[in-house]
Amino acid sequence: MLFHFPFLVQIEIISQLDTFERFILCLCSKKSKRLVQNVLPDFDATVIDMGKSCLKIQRNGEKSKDLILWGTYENPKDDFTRTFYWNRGIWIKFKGNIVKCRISIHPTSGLPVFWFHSDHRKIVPLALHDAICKMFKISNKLQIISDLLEFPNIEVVDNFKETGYSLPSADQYEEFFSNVTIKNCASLVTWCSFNNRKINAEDIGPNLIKTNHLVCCNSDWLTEDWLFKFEGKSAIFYNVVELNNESVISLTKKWIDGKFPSLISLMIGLGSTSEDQNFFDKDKILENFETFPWNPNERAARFKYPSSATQKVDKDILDCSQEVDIKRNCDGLLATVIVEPFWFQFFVWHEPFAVSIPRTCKDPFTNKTFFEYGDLEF
Amino acid sequence: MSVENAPVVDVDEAAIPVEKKMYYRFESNDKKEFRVSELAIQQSETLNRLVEAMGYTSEDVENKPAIAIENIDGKTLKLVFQWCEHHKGEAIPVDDGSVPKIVEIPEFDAKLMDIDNGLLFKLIWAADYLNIVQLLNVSCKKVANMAQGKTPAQLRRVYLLPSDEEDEAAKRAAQEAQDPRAREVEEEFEERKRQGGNSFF
Repeated sequence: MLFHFPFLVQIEIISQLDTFERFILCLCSKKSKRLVQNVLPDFDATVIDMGKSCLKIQRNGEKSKDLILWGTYENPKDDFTRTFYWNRGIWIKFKGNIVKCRISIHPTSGLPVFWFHSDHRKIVPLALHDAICKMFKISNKLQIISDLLEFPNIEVVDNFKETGYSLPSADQYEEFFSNVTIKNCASLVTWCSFNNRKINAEDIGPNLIKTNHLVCCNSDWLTEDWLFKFEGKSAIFYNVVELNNESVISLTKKWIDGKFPSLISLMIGLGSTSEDQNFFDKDKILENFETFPWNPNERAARFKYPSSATQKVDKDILDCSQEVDIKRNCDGLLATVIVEPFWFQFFVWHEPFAVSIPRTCKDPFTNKTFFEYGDLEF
Repeated sequence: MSVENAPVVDVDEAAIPVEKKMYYRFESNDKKEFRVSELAIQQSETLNRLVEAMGYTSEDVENKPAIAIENIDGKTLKLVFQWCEHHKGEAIPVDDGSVPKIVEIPEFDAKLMDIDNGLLFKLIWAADYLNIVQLLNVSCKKVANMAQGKTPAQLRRVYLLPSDEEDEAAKRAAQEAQDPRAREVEEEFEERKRQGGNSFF
């Protein structure tokens, strides 16, 4: 029926199908796949969400939406629609692995559900991502939301958001980060000290120091040495315990000397230790540098934050109209230095007059307004 | 007051809006005739251009033969003109290129399209041929809705999609029909391969 219509009618029908329906149609035959490829996709990236067992799609800068679900035969949690399999299995080939899957349709969302043996749970999501990218001819940018235990079998990813449970030992963290390279953005939440010892910053260094945008919620492992080796564009370290006034003075001096050529933004938030509470002394830090108040002829009032994972705060921390700048002579770059007792911000003005408009959102439960910065959503 | 005694008022006839009430006559390929209002015809770009080009007067419409629509049957054309009359005067939608395209099927259209797949198929053909944008949108939406909640196997049945093997066989058959020697050449090629030759030429 479909192929008996004039071509433009076929295209009209395809363009009215939802994305997951177009995906199912692609699975029917080579000819139907070619037909679907005539309609531009309504997304430009995928997100593998291991926690939700879901492959999502997103249009640049927008929230992702679910496209394909998966479940394993052995997992009792994955009991949705298990009895209504497609009677034919399909073979998924990916990097030398061949996995047999079966398909059912989720009863409420209508999304396809891929079923396979749990041995393949770290491969199939990657295979589905690969298939979707080829099917809809989009970039194969790899974005993963996962805890470190369930992380798929891959060594290089573009964006990674850590969720869920932490690994049971420091050794496993070190092993993970020595094996996996996160190229663009890493948002890490569950790092923490273990009873026996902290994560060794040196051991996780080589891969992570090159990550463009880094957000670490628990940074008790962060040392001065590691920070000074950072080669990325932006970093936010929460709950830092090893750094102090001298650390940020040294860091700023190194920047003035021409180090950190890629750095755009650095934020360091201090956490408390059991011994004593560390804090930054604004006067003590700034007295080491020649500072200038904001000059509207030299830079804009508001800093344009790089494209990192979105963060929410209760004040507009990018407003630099009341803050002081330092300048480095080697390339004439300005940097704004903001020091608060538990918070250090360092913004480098590579584009002094880039447009930066505040973004706000409301917490649906408290109705409180938050400022958002960083526009990388996935 | 009698009609004779009514005051005579001069009326500027040009100031009175004249309602277009011309009805065109169309004939399907099975000789069924339909009378369709001028406003309803505007939903079809093809028919609208046709009647504009013909430049018929009211007398022409009555006296000349009905306009023949050669490749649409009466049953389908009836649905098409019912739809056009119901939606006459409505703006013709412009495609904004969004995917998936959002189309809602109004209640009238849903009832009109409560038909078997064969007739729906003809209706879509007619909407495409007569370039009735919104009818094509809603009828394609009806076909798109058939994909909801279907596995690949079910979708194949619903859309009558041939498998890869069937496509290959159809392609070979088409080639052979076009060039009867193709089969011989292919067999010769296979034979040479069996004999260990690497190249056909």
